Amino acid sequence: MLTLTRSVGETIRIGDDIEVHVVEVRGGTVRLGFKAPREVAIHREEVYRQIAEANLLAAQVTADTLGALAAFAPSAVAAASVTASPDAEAGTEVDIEGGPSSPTERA
Amino acid sequence: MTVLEAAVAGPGSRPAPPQLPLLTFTEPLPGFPRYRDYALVPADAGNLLYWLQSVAPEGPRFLAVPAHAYFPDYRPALPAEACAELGLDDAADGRLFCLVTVPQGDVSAATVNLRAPVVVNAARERARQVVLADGAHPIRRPLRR
Repeated sequence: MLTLTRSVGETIRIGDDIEVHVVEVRGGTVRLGFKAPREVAIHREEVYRQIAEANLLAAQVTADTLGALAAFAPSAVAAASVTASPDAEAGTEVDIEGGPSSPTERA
Repeated sequence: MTVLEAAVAGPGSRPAPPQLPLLTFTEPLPGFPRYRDYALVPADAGNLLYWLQSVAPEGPRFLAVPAHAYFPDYRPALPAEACAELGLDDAADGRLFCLVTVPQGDVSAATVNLRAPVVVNAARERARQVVLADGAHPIRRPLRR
């Protein structure tokens, strides 16, 4: 691993397009600023790793869990929020956000 | 209204012309850096469960829930940078979907990731999983009520 020592106000360049600025140092904490192309994702390593692990687990979901998962669906929906309740199939009026209702269209 | 917007708005909406509800992720999902194009399609008749399916044949698929339907008080602050990337003038226009994990197929232990919602700008067909800065929302919130 390459290690460099920098002082506040100094910059590190990675490749042609990425800059790392040492913005502030206080106690044992350093504040870093990043300039990078939009397509380069920048994350705190431990958080990225946690989310990546959660996503990898989530991607193992199988279709046979769908039926059982429906049991956790909210049965009543606040008027201000959206989606249909399971009663929709019975023809109950549902408040739909963002579009007109079409009474003749039912899933 | 696109098929995607109809799916997001719920049943009873005006039927859309047949097109795939494709989303382009402005950043790949952490853990799946090679995939950016996904379809978001309802998995149930009530639009309370969705498949977030990579369009690549070998790509991943996820189950997602519309966050607000399950967690009405869930209104995380979205970073301005993420909203700009998604083309959202108003953070409130973003639709939040949270990914479901079913550990070892045990549905009673299913959890939802509230720390990193998938934020969708349906009008621009863009999405991104936004990792929230504060730790107040859990990565594994039980779905069971």
